[in-house]
Parts: sequence; structure tokens; C-alpha cells
Amino acid sequence: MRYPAYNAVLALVWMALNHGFTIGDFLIGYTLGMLILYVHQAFWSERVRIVRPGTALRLMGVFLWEVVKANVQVARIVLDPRVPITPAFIAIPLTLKDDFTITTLANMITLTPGTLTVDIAKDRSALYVHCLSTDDVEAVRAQIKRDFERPLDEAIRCSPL
Amino acid sequence: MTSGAEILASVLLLIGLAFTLLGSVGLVRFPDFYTRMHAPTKATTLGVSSMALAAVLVIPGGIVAVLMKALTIIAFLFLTAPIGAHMMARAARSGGIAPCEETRIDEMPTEPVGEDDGGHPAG
Repeated sequence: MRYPAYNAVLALVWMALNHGFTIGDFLIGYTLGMLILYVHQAFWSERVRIVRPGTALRLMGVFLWEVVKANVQVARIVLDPRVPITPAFIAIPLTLKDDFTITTLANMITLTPGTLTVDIAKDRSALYVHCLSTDDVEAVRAQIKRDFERPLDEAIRCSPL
Repeated sequence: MTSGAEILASVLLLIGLAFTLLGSVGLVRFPDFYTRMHAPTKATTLGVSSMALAAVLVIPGGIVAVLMKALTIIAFLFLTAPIGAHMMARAARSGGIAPCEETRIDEMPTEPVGEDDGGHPAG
């Protein structure tokens, strides 16, 4: 009962997978969700709140657009007979501090074609990212910080449980 | 008779097919482990997403029900694909697999940097 919002999302997933959209389905999903949340409690380290839904929504839009755009770029490289790539491992210094936001940023970087999160510095000062092809390391860094990290930082607040 | 939905579904299928195929071609053509990681992980997300959306248009049984299923598939794909890629890349890097020689910039330290904070203690 401690996380009604997560629990409701789990109930919705249940309804989606189960083809049922009645109150009864929701209640079954919610009950199963409580069970799942109970089992997973030990993994929870912070409370996540979306403080600026508008920024979060815009971030999702920007992200989806970047995924499509970058997919086309990678497709171009694959089709080019010379495979013109200059890969690089770059460090992205982190302003984000929380598990949730860092994980989200890392996954967004990986899902955007052309960049892939390899590791995080042990002291969490930077993410290490492999670029498929880049001539301008600074531009990649700046773009990730501007398009993904800053909106994440603005939209989401985490606090310890 | 072909309906508009069927035409749209075919287009989506073709797009999905194209990206999945390109991902496989990339897997063959790219020079080293790390660059190869790029092709299949990304191609799959966009490719499988379009295929799932194509399925929504043609599978009978209520568009809302099928759409919800497709969106759930896409959501899980977007949640799981990067984790697999991350674990493989990290394992390769710490296992010492060398990148191709075109890789001129490497800002990643060979030795771990800073103190390990061990993550946050559990709940």
C-alpha cells in the first residue's frame, strides 16, 4: 500500500496484458501489484517524484525524435560502402546524483543509436559512453547534457526513503 | 480488397523489416565488438516497435486491447534492451577486449576512478 502510483501502473500493465478493462481487472492487478512491490521492497532506495510533468513530457518527445533521427544516421553508415566510422570512448561528466535519474540517462544514451553507455565512474562523477562515429566529442557531450541530462534534472526529484 | 489499415500495416512492417535487416548488416560490417553492439540493440527497438504497431492495425479483437498489448511490448523492449547492451559492453571493456584502431579517442580510464560508494544500501 505504500506506493499507490507504482501499484496503479502495475495494475494497468496487468489490464493491458490481460485484455480486461473492468474495475474487477484493475482490482486483481492492483492486488498482484502489491505482492510484487512487497517482494521488491529491498531494492528500493529512493522516492521518485516528477516535479515538472511538462518538462518530462517534452523530454520524452525529444527522446523519441532523437531515436528516430539517430536510427537513420546509423542506417546511413551501415549502407555506406566504406563504413566511415571513427569510434570513441568519451566521458560525460554527471551533474545528476540519484540512482533513478542516472539510470534513466544511461538507458536513454544507449537507446539513442550511435551512443552506448559502457560504464559509470565508481564515484559517479561521469558516465563512459562509446560513440559509433564522431568527429566532435564536445558536441556529443554538450548535446547529451542539453537534451537529456538537464531536463531530467529539472523534471525529476529523488529523495531517500 | 485492401483497406487503408492493411496498407499502413504493410508500410510499418516494411519499415520494421528494413531497420532489423540494417541492424544485422551492421553486425556483420562493423569492425569491432563495441561498434557491433550498436547495430542490433538500436535496430531492434525501432524495428520491433514498428512491427508491433503494424500488428495493432490488422489483428482482430478490439483495437484498444491489442494497442495496449503492443505498447506494453514496446515499453518492456525499451526498458530491457539498454540493460543487455550495457552489461555486454561493460563486460567486454573490463575483460580487455580491444577496440578497433579507428578508435582514436578514449577518455575511459583503464583503472577504476574514485572510491566505490557501493551503491545506496537497500531500503
